[in-house]
Amino acid sequence: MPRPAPPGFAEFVGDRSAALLRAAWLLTGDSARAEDLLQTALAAVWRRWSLIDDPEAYVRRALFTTYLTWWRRRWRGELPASAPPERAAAGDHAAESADRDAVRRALSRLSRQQRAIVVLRYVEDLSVADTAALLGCSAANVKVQAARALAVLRADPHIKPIDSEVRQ
Amino acid sequence: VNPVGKLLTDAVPELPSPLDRVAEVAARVRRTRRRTGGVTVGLVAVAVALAVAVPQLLTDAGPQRYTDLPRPAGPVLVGADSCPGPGTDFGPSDVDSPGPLVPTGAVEVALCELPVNDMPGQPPVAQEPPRVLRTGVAEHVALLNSLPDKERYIELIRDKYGQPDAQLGCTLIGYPTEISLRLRYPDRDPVFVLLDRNCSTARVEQRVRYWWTDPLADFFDRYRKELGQTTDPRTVKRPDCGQTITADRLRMERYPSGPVDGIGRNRYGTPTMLPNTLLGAVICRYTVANSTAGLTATKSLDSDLPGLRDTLNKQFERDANGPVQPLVECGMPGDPAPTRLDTILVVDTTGAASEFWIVRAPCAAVITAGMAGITPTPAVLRVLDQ
Repeated sequence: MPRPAPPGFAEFVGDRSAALLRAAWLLTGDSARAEDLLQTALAAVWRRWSLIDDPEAYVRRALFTTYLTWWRRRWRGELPASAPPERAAAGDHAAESADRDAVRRALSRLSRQQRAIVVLRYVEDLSVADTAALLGCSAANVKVQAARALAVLRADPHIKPIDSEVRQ
Repeated sequence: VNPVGKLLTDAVPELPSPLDRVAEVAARVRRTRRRTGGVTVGLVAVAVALAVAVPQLLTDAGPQRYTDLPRPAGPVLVGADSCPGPGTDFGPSDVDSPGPLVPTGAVEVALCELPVNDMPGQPPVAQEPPRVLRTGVAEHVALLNSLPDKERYIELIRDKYGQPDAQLGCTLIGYPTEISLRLRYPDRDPVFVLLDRNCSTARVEQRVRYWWTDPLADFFDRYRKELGQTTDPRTVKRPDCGQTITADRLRMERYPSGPVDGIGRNRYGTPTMLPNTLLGAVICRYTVANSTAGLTATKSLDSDLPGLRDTLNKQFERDANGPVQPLVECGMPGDPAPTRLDTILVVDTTGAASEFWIVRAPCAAVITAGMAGITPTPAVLRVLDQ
């Protein structure tokens, strides 16, 4: 018999999954991997649900630390080794897809830590101190990595220009 | 508004979600517990083995034992149709990992067939373009992901058939092609699934799942429907009787010969001879002279195509022992040569055409591609003679 979810877990998943899944996609650039990453984080929360005061902070931490520690290694074996010579056919949303793909490609040029910092700082809107605490690194490191990540994104000609005033 | 945050947030596509994410997480928690338990048992076993083996090694230094490690999957070689090409290595078949077999969110599934062409004496099989499915893809992906792993498959067999010691094995049928699925996604590289008909497995890199439900039958069922709905009937060539049937073809002693069965190309997984609606049909009547059949009369059957389809499907009904209609030694190589022959040519909504040969004299038999002669039903004879 499947074990029932801890009280309140299903509600939490229903309320917060969409936002967390978006963050997971920005980390992985792939919907299936994003779902896998989110479920891995949620499974970690499930096991400690009764001991956790702030489940969202715990899931976010699990999401990002899982991504940083074993995400790439785990998925390497499941990627096809060769890309097809053809591209997906252009549809009605071709322009939108192209923009999206450009951002995805730009993000893929960042290191895993830079990518995590960019998502935490600019999408999750965490402070430098909170980002550093979550990732277990120094505030100075967060600033340096954020600056380098923004430089990479700004230099990409395929995505919309990023204001130079954006804080690091 | 933070411009970087907006740029990134706007880039996130609409993301598919499982029907029940909580259930998916619950299953993941269960698997993790099983693995943790397995690792604990394994560590205990290793400790016991070391306690026994180390003193022995210290006293008797024999040759070191070599253990093969699982190979990483080799490259998928993409041919002209973006399908796996010759030499493709789908990775080891003896390793497994938990989790979904393929990612969700696919927008297209293509069935790729790679000719094997390694059977001496057999005619070469031509490379055909892949069959591409674009409707019901999510459902097909869900079926792939519902396939059980080996452990669960054995449980299912045990529960259904009461076989506590079910052993899995593979047949050794020399299929002329190797089949794989190519799943395409809007936001990631394609995924290739090897469908092994001999072992009834679906493999993706390190994952192996078993055909408790036949994924190939599910694909063909959806593909036939989609092809029937998307083929423009105006482009389908109506059947036309040939003026002659040559002796070679009539006696089926050389390849290719005998009745054409274009509909059979997509018949996998259904016992129904004509799974799609018919668009046209014609009777061709031949008399054989000098070993060659010459056309003497034709008659359109377009006035009652549903009735004809039903009649022909009943003609080829099968049960657990084979065709319901008795086999007959008539019309095949080695049997008396036909002197009178009728053929029914049909074309269906997929645009495919098939022939049914009905030997009328000196004996009576219905012959279609790949099947020995069977006794014609009275209904088929009525269609021919009314």
